[in-house]
Amino acid sequence: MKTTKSIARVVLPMIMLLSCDEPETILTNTVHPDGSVSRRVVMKTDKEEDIDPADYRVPVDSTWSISKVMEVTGKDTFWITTAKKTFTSVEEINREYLADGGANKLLDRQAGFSKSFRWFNTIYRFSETVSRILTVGLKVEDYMNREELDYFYMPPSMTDSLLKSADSLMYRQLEKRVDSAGEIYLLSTLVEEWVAGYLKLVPDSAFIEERKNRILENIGFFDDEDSVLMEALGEEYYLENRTAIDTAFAVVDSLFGISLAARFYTCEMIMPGSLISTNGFVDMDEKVSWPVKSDYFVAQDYVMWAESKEVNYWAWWLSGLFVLFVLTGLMVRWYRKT
Amino acid sequence: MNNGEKYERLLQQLRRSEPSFEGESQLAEKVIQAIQTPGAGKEPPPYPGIIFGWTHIGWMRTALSCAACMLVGVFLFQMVELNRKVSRLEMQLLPSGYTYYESPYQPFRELIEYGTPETGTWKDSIKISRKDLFELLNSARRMQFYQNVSGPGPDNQQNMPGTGPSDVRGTRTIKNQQL
Repeated sequence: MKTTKSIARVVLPMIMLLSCDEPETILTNTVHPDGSVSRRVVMKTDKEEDIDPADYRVPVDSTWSISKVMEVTGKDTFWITTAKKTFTSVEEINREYLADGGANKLLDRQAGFSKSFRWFNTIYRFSETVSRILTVGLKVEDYMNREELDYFYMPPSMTDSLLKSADSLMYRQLEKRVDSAGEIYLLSTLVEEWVAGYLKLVPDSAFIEERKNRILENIGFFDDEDSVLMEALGEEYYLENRTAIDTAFAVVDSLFGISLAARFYTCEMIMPGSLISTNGFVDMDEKVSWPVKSDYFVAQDYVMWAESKEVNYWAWWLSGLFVLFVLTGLMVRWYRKT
Repeated sequence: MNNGEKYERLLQQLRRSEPSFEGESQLAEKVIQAIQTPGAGKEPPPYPGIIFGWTHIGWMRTALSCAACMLVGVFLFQMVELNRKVSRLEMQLLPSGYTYYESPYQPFRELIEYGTPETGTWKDSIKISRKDLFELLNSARRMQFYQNVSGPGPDNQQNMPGTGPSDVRGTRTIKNQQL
């Protein structure tokens, strides 16, 4: 137990620290009507050396076409590596995700595509899903209000812009609220995961459920888990079940390690036809973007989806002519009868 | 009695029971009237060509009418559904520069832009220079910040210009929608 560091003090700052490192990566999926997807990965770094494939956020291998250019912005010099590849179907993408050896290899990611014919329109739906890391599921919606959720899921470029705007003070306050709610959410997921693991070893659900909230409250007051649990569960109970408690913590540590190892990147989508619906952020060119960071998929699946439509003009014409034909027939009959 | 005799007897019986004809005197008149009336006693002429022949057949008329109504229904449903989705999508647009936050002091801005003493759109006798008005706006913004930090108390809301309860609520609604 002594080797297990305080999650509240160590894990959360680590997430913040690790989520900012290089290379800045943007993955752009251009979806085609036949289900094929052109993927482009742009990685920006201030180092001239080639990026180590182990640092890739998205699977890129020798089958991709890779180019590298230098960009000078003011006094800063960046090297931008661009990798491109067209996949005939999402199954190919999923196979690459399974064989990923990059920085996010421990994440369970999947792409999905569907095309549905709706007579007047054809609807396309493309999604990228990152499955949750922990076994328990907790919704972040239960910890934040609508305004905080919007800010929580906002791309960093947008939050940076808001924090530099004329109303930066207001947005800083909002950011503090979001950070605070995010911390409580993460700690709650960890406690829930520990409880779930512990109850598998010691089926004492009534007692643990009763003390769960106290464990969460104590995290802020004590420096180590020993004190937190000793106070919440009682010294006698704690010493009696210490082995099971430690084992459950080891499981939480290993699972949360995946979250710590996850690296941030931005996912973008360009859909065929006109965009009609998405849960991401849309720019004026109908390009949709999502930030991909571990906070989003610790305890719930993170699904980035977009829907678009293509109008079937032939169906419009055919339907119009048919309705006109029927109406004319009925009108002629009515005229003859009267 | 052979069959020939039977047949002869039947014929004689039929000849004896000759049917009566009522209105015999009007028969010629009725025939002439029927000839003179165009189209009388005939089937209605076919519709233009044969394309509307289906309107004579009941089940076909019903089926085609139902199919046409269904198409119109599907079309309307899809249009409403798409409009609903697209209007929701507009809330997720990333505005350029993200300088979309609406100030609660919009009425003051409108005064600056559209109402000046020179244009004569002032409806009361207040005269204020643009510089003073900007200063007022800045002061109000600072007070808004103070209110955000200290929390909107009832006294604050009543005393600050342009930061009454309705203004504060309005601002938050706009922010929520645009975020």
